[in-house]
Formats: sequence, C-alpha cells, structure tokens
Amino acid sequence: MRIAIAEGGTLPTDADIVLLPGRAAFLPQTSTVVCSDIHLGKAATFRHAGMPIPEGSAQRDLQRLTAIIQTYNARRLLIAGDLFHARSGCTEHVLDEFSVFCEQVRQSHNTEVVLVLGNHERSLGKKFRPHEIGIKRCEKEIIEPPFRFIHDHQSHFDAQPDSFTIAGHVHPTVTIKGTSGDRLTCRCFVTTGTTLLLPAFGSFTGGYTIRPSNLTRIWLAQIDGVLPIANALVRS
Amino acid sequence: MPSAPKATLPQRRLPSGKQRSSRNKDASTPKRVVELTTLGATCEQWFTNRDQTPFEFQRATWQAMIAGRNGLLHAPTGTGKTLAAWFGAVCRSSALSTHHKKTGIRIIWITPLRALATDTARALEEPLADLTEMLGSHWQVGTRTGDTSAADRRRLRQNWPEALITTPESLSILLSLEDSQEIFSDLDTVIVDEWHELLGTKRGVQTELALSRLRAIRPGVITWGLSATLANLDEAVATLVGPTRRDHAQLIQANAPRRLEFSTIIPDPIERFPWAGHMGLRLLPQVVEAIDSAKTTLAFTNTRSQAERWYDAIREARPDWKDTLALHHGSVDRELRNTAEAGLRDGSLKCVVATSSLDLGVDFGPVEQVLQIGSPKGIARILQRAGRSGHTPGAVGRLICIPTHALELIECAAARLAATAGSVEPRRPLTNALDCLSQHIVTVACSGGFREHDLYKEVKGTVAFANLDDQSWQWALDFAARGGHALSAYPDYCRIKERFGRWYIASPALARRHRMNIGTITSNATVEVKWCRGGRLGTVEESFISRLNTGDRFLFAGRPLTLFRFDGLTAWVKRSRGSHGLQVPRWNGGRMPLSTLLSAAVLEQVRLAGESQQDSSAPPLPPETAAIAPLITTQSTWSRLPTHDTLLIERARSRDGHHLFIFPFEGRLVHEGLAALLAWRIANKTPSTLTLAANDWGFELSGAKQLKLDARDFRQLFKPGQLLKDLFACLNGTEMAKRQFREIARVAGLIQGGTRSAKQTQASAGLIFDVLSEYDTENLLLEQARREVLENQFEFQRLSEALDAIAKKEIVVIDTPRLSPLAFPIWAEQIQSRLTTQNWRQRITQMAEELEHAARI
Repeated sequence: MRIAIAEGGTLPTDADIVLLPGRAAFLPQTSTVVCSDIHLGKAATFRHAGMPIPEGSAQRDLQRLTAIIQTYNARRLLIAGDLFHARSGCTEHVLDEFSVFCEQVRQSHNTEVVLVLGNHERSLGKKFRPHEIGIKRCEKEIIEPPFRFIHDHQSHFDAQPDSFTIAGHVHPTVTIKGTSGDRLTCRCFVTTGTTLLLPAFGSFTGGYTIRPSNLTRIWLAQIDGVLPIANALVRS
Repeated sequence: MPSAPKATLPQRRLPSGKQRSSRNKDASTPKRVVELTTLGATCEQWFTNRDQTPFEFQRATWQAMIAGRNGLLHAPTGTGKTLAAWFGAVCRSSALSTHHKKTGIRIIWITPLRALATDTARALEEPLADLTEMLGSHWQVGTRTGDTSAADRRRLRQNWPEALITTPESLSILLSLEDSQEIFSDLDTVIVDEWHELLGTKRGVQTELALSRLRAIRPGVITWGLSATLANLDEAVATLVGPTRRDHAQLIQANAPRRLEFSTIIPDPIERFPWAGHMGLRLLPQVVEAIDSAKTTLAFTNTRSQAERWYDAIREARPDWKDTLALHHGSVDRELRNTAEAGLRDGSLKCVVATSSLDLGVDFGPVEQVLQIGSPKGIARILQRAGRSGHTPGAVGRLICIPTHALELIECAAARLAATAGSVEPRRPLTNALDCLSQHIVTVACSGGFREHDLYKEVKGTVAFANLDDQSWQWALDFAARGGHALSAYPDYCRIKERFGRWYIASPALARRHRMNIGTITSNATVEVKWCRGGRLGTVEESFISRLNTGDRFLFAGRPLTLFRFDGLTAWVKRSRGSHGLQVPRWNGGRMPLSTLLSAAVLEQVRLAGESQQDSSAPPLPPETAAIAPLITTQSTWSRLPTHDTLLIERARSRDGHHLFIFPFEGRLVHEGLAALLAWRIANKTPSTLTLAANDWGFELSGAKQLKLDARDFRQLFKPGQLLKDLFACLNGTEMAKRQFREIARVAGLIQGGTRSAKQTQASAGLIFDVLSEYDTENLLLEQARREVLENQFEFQRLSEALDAIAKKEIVVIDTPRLSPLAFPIWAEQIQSRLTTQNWRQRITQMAEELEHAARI
C-alpha cells in the first residue's frame, strides 16, 4: 500500500492513501475522504449530565471537514464510526447542525456521506435515524477491495486476510521526548502493513497513548500538517 | 414521663416516625437545669477518679463552652485537647437539655482524616460511661465518613447518634440532604479537630461554608477548634467562628509545652555530590541501630515511594524484625493500615514506616522516638511529628532527622534550631475560591432550596468570602444554575432552578450526582491492586501500572510483587521472590515546598558556613553544617557561595544541553514563578523551548541552544516592570494554569471524579481547559485557575518582593566547568514545566536532532 502525505493542498501522484492535514485521509482512486471519531454532541452529553461545557468545538469541526472536502473535491465522505457521542447528546440542535452540513456538501460538491456504525452509535437507539439527516449507514463494515472500512480494527466480522483495514476507535496519540527535556503529545495516524488507524477527528475527544512496535509507522496528525516520525523518537 | 414538650411550631414527622419538637426548644423552659458549677465538678471528679488533675487550659475550655462561647484551643499534640473539648461539649448539651427523650445530633466532631474517625470515636466513647448520669441517658457516638457503608449510613439516618464524627466532605453531604434542617435542629456544638490542617486549604473553605450553614440552621450553635503548632492564631479563630464573632470568641492556649528533643544523624564522610535522594539508603545502618535502641519507633518519610523503599531496606537488613515491622501510607489498603495502627497502639510493633498518613490522630502511647527521613520542609511539621512520640508520663518527645542528600543536612540544622527556638510558620486562609462557592450553592439547593439574599449573607459571613463582590456572587450563582455566560444558549443545561423566589436543584438525579462529587480533593486515576487468590493490597496510580508489562516486578505495600494481569480496573498480582531490581510506584502527590521561614534559616546556615571558612575565630557551627564543610569548599572553589546581597547565577553545559542555575533562596514556589517569568522573557526574544526546574534553593532553565546572557542582560530580565502582564502571558505559555485548573474543574463540577462507570462523560480537565479557553474566555474558573497559580503557587506578593530584592543585589554570573554542588540537586529534580515559543515542527526537528546527537555519542 503506497501511503503519502499531502503538502500545501496538492496531492502526491501515485499514492493509494494520502494522509491529510486536519486528521483525515484521502483515497484518490475513489475520491473519498475518510475520518473517524468526530463525537458530535459530546459537550451536550456533558451538559445533560450537569457539567457546564460550552458547545462550539463541534461547529468548528464540521467547518474543517467542509474545507477538506472542498480542497480535495471529494465525491464521498466516509466516517469510520463514532460520529455521535451519546444518546443524551443527540439534541435537535446537534442533529440539525449535522444535517445542514450534509446538505451543504451535497449541494456544493455532490458529496455523499457514508457512516460505518461505531460503538457509540449502538447506544443511540431509535433517536438515531440516519436517512433523515441524509447519510447512508452501514452496520458493520464496508468492503471495497483493496480496502476494508471498519470502526474497531480488532473486531473481525468477515475477516478478509488480504484487505487493507482503515479503522478508527482507538484515538491514537504518541508522546515525543527530546533529550533536553522537551516533550510533546500529539494525535497520530498509525500504519502497519495491513492497517491504518485514524486519529480522532473531533476536537473535544481524548486520546489513547499507543506504544509503537517494529511493524508500526507513526505519522503525527496536526491541524496544520502531517509528519512521519521515527519510532525511536516516541517514548512510552 | 411526658412526651416532647409543647412546641409552638407545627410538629414534623421524622423518617423514623418519631415525633420531636421543632427548632425553638431553647425558648421553652428547660425541664432540668444543671448548675454550671456542678457540671465542672463532674469533669473534675472524672480526673480525680483516675488520680489526675486537669490542666488549667482544660478547665478553661469546658468553662468557656458551658458559658456558650465560641473559641479555639491551641495546645501541643498529645496534651489532652480532645478530652477538654469533649467534656465541654457534653456539659453544654446537658445544660441545654430540655427533655429526656432521644433527640437529633447534638454534637458534630469534624476530623480532617477519615482514617481518624474510628480512633476518635473510641477516645470519645471511653469517658462516656461515667458521664451517663450527668447526661441523663446513655449517649451514642457515631461516625459518618467516606468509609461508612451504605447500610450503616441508612441506619444512621433512622436514628442519629447524639455525637457524630465526620469529615468536611461527609458533613457537606449531610447538608445536601432534603431533611438537613431537621437533622441539625438539635445541634449544640461543632468541634473542628486539627483545624490547622484544614486552614489554608480548600477543604478549610468547604468547612467554613458548612459551619456558616449550620449557624443559619441553628443560630445557637457554638464552634470550637482544636489546633496545634500554628503561628497566626488570630486569623485561625476568625476563620473558624466567622469575622463578626471574632471579638467574642475565646482563644485558649496551653502553657504546658511538651519537652521535645531534636537531633540529626550525620553521615561520615560526606560525599562531594549531593545527588537529590541519592545518599538515600546510605544511612540505613545508623537508622537500624536507632530503631534497635528504642522500644517502638515511628519513621516518617516525605513520600509514599520513599516509605516503600525504606520499609523494604529495613526488612532486608533485619529479617528477624519481619513480624514487628509495618508500613503505613495512604495508598495501602485500610485493613493493612488498621493492623499497623493496632500494632502501634498495643506496642507489639518495633517500627512503622509511615508518611503524613500518621501525622495526625490519637496518640500511640508506646512510641518512644520519631525518625524524620528526608528534610522536614517546615518547622510546624517537625514539631507535629516530634509530638507523636513520648506519650508515657514523664517521657520526652524525641525526633531524629535522617538526611537523604547532603544539602538536607543544612535544612535539618535550620529546622532543628528554629523548632527549638519556637518559631512556626503561619497558615493563611484561602479567599474567594469560587469553585468551592459554586459547589456550596448547589449543595444548599439540594437541601430544600434557598433564598438568594439569605445565602449571600450567610456566605459573606465567612472569612473566605467576606470580600466577595456582588458581581462574583452573581457569576457563581449563574454558573451553578446555567453554567455561566457561554452556556446561556443551551436550555438543556440547568442544575438549579428558581421557583417562587427560592432556588432548588433541578432534578433528584442531579442531586444524587452532586452528592457523589462533593469534595475538594482531586486524585489521579487509581487502580486497585489485588492478590490473584483474593485480598486487597491498596491502590496505585494508573499511569504507573499502565507502563508495566505482565510479569514485571514492583514493590508495593512493602511486598515484592509480580504483575499477573491488568484489566484496566484491577492489577492482579502474585508474590515475587527476591527484592532486587524492583520498580517502585510513584504517586503524584503534592510535593512539600520548604517554608519561607525555613529557607531564610537555610541561607543563614550557608552564610555561617562560608564565614567560618574565612574566619577561624567565628562561632562554632551546628554539627550538621560543619559536616558539609568539604562541600561548601568545593562550591566556593568552583563557583561562589550565595549570600544575602549577591544573586549567584551559574552557567554550565552537560550532555543534555545548556543550563542556567539561579539561586535566589526564596522557596520552591517563588522559584517556579521566577523560572516561568524568566523563561518567558528569554523565549520572547528568540524563539526557543526551555525546560524549567526548581527546588527550595534555586531554579534552572535549560535548553538545547546556548543562552548567551551576561550580568547586564539578567538585570534587564529581572526587571519588575510589567510583572503581572508578563506572568499572565507566561502562564498561557506553560502548562501551569492548566494543571491548577484540574482541581478547580473537579470542585466546580466540570469533571467528575473517581468512578469509571460514567464513560460517556469522561474528559480530562486539560481538554475542558482547552475548550473553555477557546469558546468561553470569560469563564471565571479559568480566571481563578490563573489567579490561584499566581497567588498560591507563585505567591505573587513574595514574587514581586523577590524581584525588588534582586534589583538591589549584585548579580554574579559564573561559568562552571561542571555542575556545582548547589546546582546538582536542581538538575536531578524532575522537570516541572516547559515553555515554548516555537511551533510543533520546529520542536520535533529539534528533538530529532538531539536524538541523533545522543546516538552519535
């Protein structure tokens, strides 16, 4: 699998997967933007539970996503699970905001929005009617050789040994330490020979510190850029 | 016997179904008035029966309490404060007693540590049997703390004991109950034990608010505090009873100081490099010898990790003490702690290695001596700990300091001399902690609501909020209700609601959740450690255990363990053989800074040491200071000795970069502030990333690039001008405000502590800090986080005084060939903070270069 990074809005030629600034990936063959773990309505979930967190970040996240679709003129947006955070956070306001987003990208770029259900969507219940907000949903996984899109790469539904899995769920982050004491924790893409783990797209989401092995490759995923780094820089 | 006396208010039905008179029973004629003198005589008799006479301060205390005054009893540890206050409270209640029928809670006893509750209950129950006659019935003493089981809590609610021992947190929970008005309607006296421990903390503010609430529910209640080793007694009294009652409150001081003896074990010979903590276990033989010479020893360390290490080392050194050695710290399971405490009480243990978990509490008679391992850090602390020994009649309290690195010898000398001279640090009460206020507002809303004006007046009656302005009050109320300005657009969010002029909690579910999160103590995520075969050992921090792999060995609860499995909630362990190469958990507890008073005493010792080198006719040095003469010589040869009128700055290079060491001797907190300020001013000129470290003697800035600065540049950098503006700017550049915010967010209810059950509402305080900084910049809690860093962490007042002082000092910049003896311990400290003016790409490039460079060496 040829993986490359996009610099300054230009796409590299002959890559199967392009890692984009802003924590999403692009598949040139199918003109698809892939991202995961947006966790819309997380702040609302907190408010429902009596914790006063303002909204704001969700709207900004959707704006970023629109900008990415615009830049790469994507025909399809594929969300690998955990689009919504929880049932109590799926308020009218949050759902409206998302349907406006869907409508916008459909009209301006004829972009189709597809969602692979994640563990958080499973708890939404009847309140969650994807077709009403204009998205196509898929229960378990999408197999589209050579790719397989799934939320949690560790669940094996129809195990396809030779497909390349693109998954979310983990919210991977790494911590980098220098010898003179500097230290930085960033979200990252993680690739192995057969998988790509996407960083969490949503701003109001936490992270899980991963420990890279010899087989993994780490790509720092910042809002304004992607940078491959040597595993030796990562300290667990 | 007639039932309850006639009440003028309509009678309310209690949960247990009992009828009881309502609040105004003071007004009705007492059925049984015991002469005050008789009451005093009963207490006297109790002592006489035991062939003892009460101290004058004990008499004074119970007389003042019977007379219905508020006050503070200040007496050294182990002189009988508990008994004095208990007799006073019991006498007062019996004087006020209007009917023989069992009523609600009469006395509340607040203890800062829930671990103390059981011991206190035992101590209070003991004399009760003899007082039954005076009381007219047998009194019950109950405890209600975080440790109390749900069943016991239910039992308590059905039948409140006359005296209830509780913690500030549990008291707040009781105040949040719907029937709190009734629970406390018979209250006569509140006693706050170990008030000095609470004063100056957020728990102290919480206690103040609870006390003001109790006074509102029951206007006749009196408040008494018990305290040891405190300098600002007047402030302590005012904070306890409220500023308006200060003039009528009584301060009783014991003039029977206990005899205490201090000494230090001096290692021989002194190593040249005082690695922080490295001398560590070198004094083990002397420590073992000291333990051997006494019947029972209490060995205090400053951290839990140190306690684990020393316990293990002593056990290795003396296998024959296997059964008479115990370990006691806050993370060890309660069962194990109880065993250790019981062993101390009955004298069956030779030695217990403990942390501040045993600083307070009921005295252990058999303890003959106390060891202080590591610097005592404060004078009040050394006095408190010394007071834990020598409780047999006629015995002397003995404390032996065990330095763990060479420079601590000077700290030991300074602390020992100051303690002997009798100077103690003050503890200043906190003010305007809006997070506590916001929590309190919701607490009161849970308990049947409040009128805005009433609560405002109540809150203003505390020292903590005496200067609260109307605007901040409105903000706190609005925050409790709607989450503040930024959330006004979200009707889905509402914690308290106004109905007919009163504020109530919005739903019973929110009240339940609020009760679960009452408190001001923040703790890191912890993981329970259990034997594979069953049985608990205690808790360690998740961050430690998640770094381990299955099969890794570590030391915990004094036992070598192997990690068998970690499932996210529990670490399952097996016993491991041999104790070499074990990892020791770290707990990110607060690290104690050297007190201001002690830092000044330390600089004085350094000066004396330098003087005696120059002048052989100088007065003899204390043995500790004399012992590190070689080190002082090295320091003055390689560099200079700091003095009162020079500011010493050393520049050095090491494998990990370029360093600046600056020695203002202003205490760790001020040093952290100065380090952040200086780093900000340097990085503002040239984009760079600097790491900051500080100890009580000085601070360090280091970076990958050389900082080309001379004395004149430093003079500029230390200019006080625009101090506040620069400090605010550097707070944003470092993680300090974010760190402080964690505690504030927890108290204000932005994040929920403890339980892992509510997965969908878990977010780190750091994440919330970022969200608020971006979308709710006017949030006063962010403001409070910055203010708390400025005031409490950096001690802004002292910081600005320190800059003024530096302006008068001569600045001496010296390049040292190697790290000097004074610089070394700072270098060995953990890095406390980072400050950067570079973007992430530059930082990563830099780190990659460093790594390559390190690989080449």
